Amino acid sequence: MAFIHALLDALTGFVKSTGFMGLTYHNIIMIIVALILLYLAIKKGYEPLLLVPISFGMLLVNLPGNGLMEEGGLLYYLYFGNKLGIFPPLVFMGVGALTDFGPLIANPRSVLLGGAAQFGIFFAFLGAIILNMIFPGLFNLKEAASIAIIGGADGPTAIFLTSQLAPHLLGPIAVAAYSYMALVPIIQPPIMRALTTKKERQIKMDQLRPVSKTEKVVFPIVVTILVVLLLPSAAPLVGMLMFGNLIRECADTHNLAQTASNGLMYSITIFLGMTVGATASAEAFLNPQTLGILALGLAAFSVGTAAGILFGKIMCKVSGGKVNPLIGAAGVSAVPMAARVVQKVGSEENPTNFLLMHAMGPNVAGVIGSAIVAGIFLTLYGA
Amino acid sequence: MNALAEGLTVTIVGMGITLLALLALSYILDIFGAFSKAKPKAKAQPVPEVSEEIEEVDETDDLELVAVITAAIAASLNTTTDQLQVRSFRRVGVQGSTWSRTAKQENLKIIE
Repeated sequence: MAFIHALLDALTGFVKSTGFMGLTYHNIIMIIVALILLYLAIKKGYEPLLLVPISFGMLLVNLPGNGLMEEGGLLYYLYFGNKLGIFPPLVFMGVGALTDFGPLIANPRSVLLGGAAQFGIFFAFLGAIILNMIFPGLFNLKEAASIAIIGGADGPTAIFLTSQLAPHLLGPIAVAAYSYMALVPIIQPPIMRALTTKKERQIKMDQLRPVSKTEKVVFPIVVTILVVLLLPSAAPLVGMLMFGNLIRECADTHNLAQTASNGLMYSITIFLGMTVGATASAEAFLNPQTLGILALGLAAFSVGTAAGILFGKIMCKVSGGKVNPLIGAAGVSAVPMAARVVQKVGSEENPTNFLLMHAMGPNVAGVIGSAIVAGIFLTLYGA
Repeated sequence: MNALAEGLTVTIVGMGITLLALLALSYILDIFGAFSKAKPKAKAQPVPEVSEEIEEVDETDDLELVAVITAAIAASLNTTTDQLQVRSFRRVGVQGSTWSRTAKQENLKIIE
């Protein structure tokens, strides 16, 4: 008899310890959200390298009772890499090691397009402030800045700024940023067509001049000195981006660049993605703020695209019709997707028009631009 | 209302700093361009137009080939493809014995 009692006790103890007992409907909704994101990433190819780790982290943390994100849990400790602002700059180093700044060096004015497209960020910032006036208490200024940076279309920048200003919003902001980046080919073309004439889209641009190795080596050094002196708070992002680029362009540091852009970057991406996803607990995700973030993120992307194109139109006029305004759309960053979209929309009008390399200039300038804006927000609202 | 005023200020100042930094960068890159133009001019001058080999053109079929050949010539002459114009090209055919071909290939490898 005593044996059966002990057995029953053990069984009830086990049943109580399973996650099933702690499962709330919030968890179930979040598990479904995670599964949908996994589906989109795996089956539809939406930024799978990031959305798979993010959504899997989200799935894990919403299975109750495992304590992964509580003190002592695996993801809790890995999350320090985000919390302390370590992972995103390291990913940025890998991005730098993968980026060719040649098209930007060859066409210096295209740098400005990468600046103009950052207007989307500030538009969303104002939008968040206005939403807060309609629904008091929805977003404070730090949160507004973190949401706005989605418009920079740059994952590491968005995660870096959010982890410093509003870490509780990391989950929804990362999901919004990466989903919209994956949706660039759907979001941008209608805006591009609406704001340009057929004639403008057909403009062919002069071929870019060849860029020497020396220029490519000097470039990251000059940018680092200029930007970090101007905006010290942008140093983690811009400094690491340019360091990555320098080791790419120096012939003798090839092995460093290889590691930074391959093994190291993918390892960090795994940690970063999973822990960002793990911040998306039910209470952090299922609230009106998430809806606001999704709406503002989309607005930031669209307005950024529009601002880039409008600035491109100005440059087209000033240059006497030598600049195709479409390349302005690539200024939002989202490298290299946005530049590919420009190429596609341009070649629809004229199959012999090759805008890809011209669009890469504003595209990579956009990365520098959004890192600068992140630095500005950090200076204003950082600790 | 206060927050909105702050937001507008941040927007103006933020966009201003961003554009200013990038404008400065763009002018610095102009200096890069000036340097690189100063150098290759001496070399690039004798290369205004090169017409390769000779004979028939069937451009519709061979556009890709023209592009490849133009790019290859441009690379070897250290200039860009828009400085060149391929008027016509034809296959030269295999010349010489297997031995001389092998010798040519090996010499090319050394040059590379």
